[in-house]
Amino acid sequence: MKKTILFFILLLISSCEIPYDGEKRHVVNVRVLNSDGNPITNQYVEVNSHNSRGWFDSYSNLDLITYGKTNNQGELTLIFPSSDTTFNVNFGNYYDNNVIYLRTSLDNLRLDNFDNFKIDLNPIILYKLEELTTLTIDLVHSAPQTILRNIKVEGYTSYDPFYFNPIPIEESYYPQTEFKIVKNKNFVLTYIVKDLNTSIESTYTVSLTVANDPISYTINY
Amino acid sequence: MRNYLVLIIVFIGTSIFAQSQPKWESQFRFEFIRPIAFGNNSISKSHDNKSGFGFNWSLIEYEKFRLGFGSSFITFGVIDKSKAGNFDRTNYNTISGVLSYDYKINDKFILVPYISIGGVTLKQRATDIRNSTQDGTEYKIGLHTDYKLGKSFVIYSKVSYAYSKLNITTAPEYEKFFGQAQQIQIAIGLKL
Repeated sequence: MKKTILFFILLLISSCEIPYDGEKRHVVNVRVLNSDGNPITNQYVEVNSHNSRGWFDSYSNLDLITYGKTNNQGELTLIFPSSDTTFNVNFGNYYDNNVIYLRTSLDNLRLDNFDNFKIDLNPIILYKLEELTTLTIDLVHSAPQTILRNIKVEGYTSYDPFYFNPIPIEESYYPQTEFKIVKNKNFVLTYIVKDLNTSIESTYTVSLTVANDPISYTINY
Repeated sequence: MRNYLVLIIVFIGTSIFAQSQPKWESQFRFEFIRPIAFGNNSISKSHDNKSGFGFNWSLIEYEKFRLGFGSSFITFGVIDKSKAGNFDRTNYNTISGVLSYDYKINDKFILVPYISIGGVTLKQRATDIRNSTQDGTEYKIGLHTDYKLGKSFVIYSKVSYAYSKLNITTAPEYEKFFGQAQQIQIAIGLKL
């Protein structure tokens, strides 16, 4: 009995470790600029893999595999051992309370996005919090046979996350309804409504202008 | 390459020993190692030098030559996580074949030059969270200075140069950075 318990404890402990391939190393080059085009020095950047730490960490499903800070040219090279999964690149530390720039995330980076084990993210523009305002989408679901498939905001926007590769949209998809948007700019809001009876998807595009104050927009579907 | 050098060591060893009868003569060394990594590589630039230990077991003796094997376990601390990854330490573990030669200076001192070749494994770890493994080949040349304290009790110091060629696939500009390591290793130990 003791041996059985010990075996399962060892199995549990060993399953908590995330293995990486140290014989393959991937390189992420970043250059981070502000909205004036000047380099941001000392900007924290990290790469996470979508690995869980076994039973204990299945909740977060992210593993911080490398991090660093940009030099005075706003440049940073991050290198990490390979893993057969996807990655995200975060600009900004989630635990930093003295945030100047909006924390931005580039998600769903796959190994096939790397060219010869290297990818250049150049440049990444970060906006100060004071440069941004909020767009809130109010959803009014009045037709039961329809679902909202996707909401995208294109233009001078900064939102979390941006996906390298599109992620599959499930029927249970709940769209992002709050976006950080640069003040005094025009932008385009796009959303898709799917009719479940006919399976027809209709794409809607709206051009909007934002001033200094937060705005809201209502989608009826 | 590793196979060729193993063959060379075995060939030299057997050539020497073939001239007359070698004898089984067990000699054991245990040592504490202080590595000094250098060069433009990950071990040198992204780690600090910590310490380790090793042992060497000579099994066959012919006149002044000895043939045996050794192993070492050295830890390097990760200081640049942007290059080495989010690990706490890198364990540098080796197991090698060793050919040495005893050059007696006087009744107290013996100089023991040696060469070795074997496998190296770099195991990166962050406590109970993540790990990575990288294998390669280590070539080493060095010199023991043995000092006889008693009839069968010897202390020694050792200086070695170790070059490791590591398996790596990465962006071309980082192949050398992750594909090799160089160290001077200083050790003190006991010979039994």
